[in-house]
Amino acid sequence: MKVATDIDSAGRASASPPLPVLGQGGRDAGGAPVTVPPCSAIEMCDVWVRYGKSAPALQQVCLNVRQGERHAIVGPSGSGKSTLLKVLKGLVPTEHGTVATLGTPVNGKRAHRQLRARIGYIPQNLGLVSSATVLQNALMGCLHRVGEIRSWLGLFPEAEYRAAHEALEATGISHLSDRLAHQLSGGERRRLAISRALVQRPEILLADEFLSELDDVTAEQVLRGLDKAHRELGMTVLMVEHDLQVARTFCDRVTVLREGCKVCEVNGSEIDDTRLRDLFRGVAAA
Amino acid sequence: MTPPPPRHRNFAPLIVAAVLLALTAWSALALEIRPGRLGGIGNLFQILGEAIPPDTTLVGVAVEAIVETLQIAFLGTAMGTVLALPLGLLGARNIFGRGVTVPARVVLAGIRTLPALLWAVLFVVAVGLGPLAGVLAAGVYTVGYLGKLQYESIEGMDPAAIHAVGSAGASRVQLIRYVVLPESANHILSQILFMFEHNVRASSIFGFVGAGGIGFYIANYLTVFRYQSVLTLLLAVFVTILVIDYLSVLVRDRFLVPSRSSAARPRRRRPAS
Repeated sequence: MKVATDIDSAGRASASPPLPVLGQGGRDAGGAPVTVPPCSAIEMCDVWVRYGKSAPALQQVCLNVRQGERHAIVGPSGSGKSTLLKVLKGLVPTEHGTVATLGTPVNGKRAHRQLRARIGYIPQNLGLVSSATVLQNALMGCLHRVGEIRSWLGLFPEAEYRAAHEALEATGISHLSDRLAHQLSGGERRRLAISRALVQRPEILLADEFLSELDDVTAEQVLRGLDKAHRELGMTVLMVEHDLQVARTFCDRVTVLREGCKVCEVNGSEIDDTRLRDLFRGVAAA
Repeated sequence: MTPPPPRHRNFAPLIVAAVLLALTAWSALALEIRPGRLGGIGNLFQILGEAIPPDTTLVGVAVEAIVETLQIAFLGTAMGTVLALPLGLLGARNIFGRGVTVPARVVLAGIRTLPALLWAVLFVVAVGLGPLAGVLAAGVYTVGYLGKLQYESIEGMDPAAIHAVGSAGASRVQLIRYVVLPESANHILSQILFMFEHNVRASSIFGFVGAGGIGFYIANYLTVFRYQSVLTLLLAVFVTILVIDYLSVLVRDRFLVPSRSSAARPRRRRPAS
């Protein structure tokens, strides 16, 4: 896919705010420099996850994503990519290790509403309400900002309607706002899921293969919308992506997972497609 | 060349079949069910012969009684639905924790322990003879049964929407309003229709215990062996059930089928004049 290259060349580097630089830590008691990631949005340390008695879905995984960073998780099927996102959302409990999002520990239980509102999540199968309209689905992203009674009666503030329309416009489906979600095509459904996440205005966006099933043109449009939101909101993006080129060019850093283990973490700009593909396939050493 | 993997014979179906056969034989022997005892079934045909032709002079009474039966079923279903919906939601494990779901399920299971007819007997004792006892019996039984159907269908929902909207910071009440109810509305409608059909049939025999409806007349005419009158009343029940079944199909087609297939099947447009 040439999408990401276009995005990149379209000015992400120049338009994006400069990301914090790793290693601004200081010195320890012995005078040695200490590498402290500034303002971590996501921290995972020695995380193990197991479904029942099967082999571990994640083993000894450590991950640190800085605020405002765009980070991709790549790896073959069954390598634990989606599990990693579910761990961060507290949908899957860990067997061992520590996980924190926005400085708050995640313990495999339902997080508090205010914390949940700060972390957007686009699951692999999107989680749209099929019997609701496109506009209603988009508005579901702002439920945390609307009171119980107002939302129960469907009385959303005008500003939220405006936000929903803007998000739908950003993803190019505003003309479908009255259509029911189950009447949309695969690509339109994906764009709607992204619109909902944009309406939510999260500090972290977790997206699970949200570009799959999209043609190149649509994927480019979706990535542009996400790029715009990233720049405007300054949100952290952690995306599971199967397209290595998109992962490498759209994201600042790329983590490769294989069989539940973290193989390596590289800068997107410092690695080429061939090398990344070799790491992905396991034919090259990290 | 690698040898083919060894084949493992699966004896589970055979074992299940043998167990079912053994249970059937054991039950039949314990209840002394033997072919020789089935000779009395011939009496059924004799009764049927005596019931034909049905008593047409009773049509007015039958219509009046069936209307009362429908009223009992409708009120019972409405009352039961209003109470079953919150209990069904409270029983759904994908919405609430065990501290809420277990008590809700115990209440629903407790209600279902008694069959509808027994609830009718209890309410006749409590509020006296008449349709009110029938309404209460149908309503309470609907709560137990419909509540169970509802929490099962809510738990069968695709969890992705609940996760995604819940992850966006929606409260539990908002989740119910925006995800659970819209996504399970078709199932709930279908279940309410099913319960109404069930309550019409159940209300038809509530009269046997004095809880109103057409059963009161059937029981009386059976006691005095007026089979032609009984057949008239049974035909009224039969026709009513057929009509309700047809109406249910119409409602399901209107609300259930199009919502799933309209994306693939374009609506027929009127040709431009």
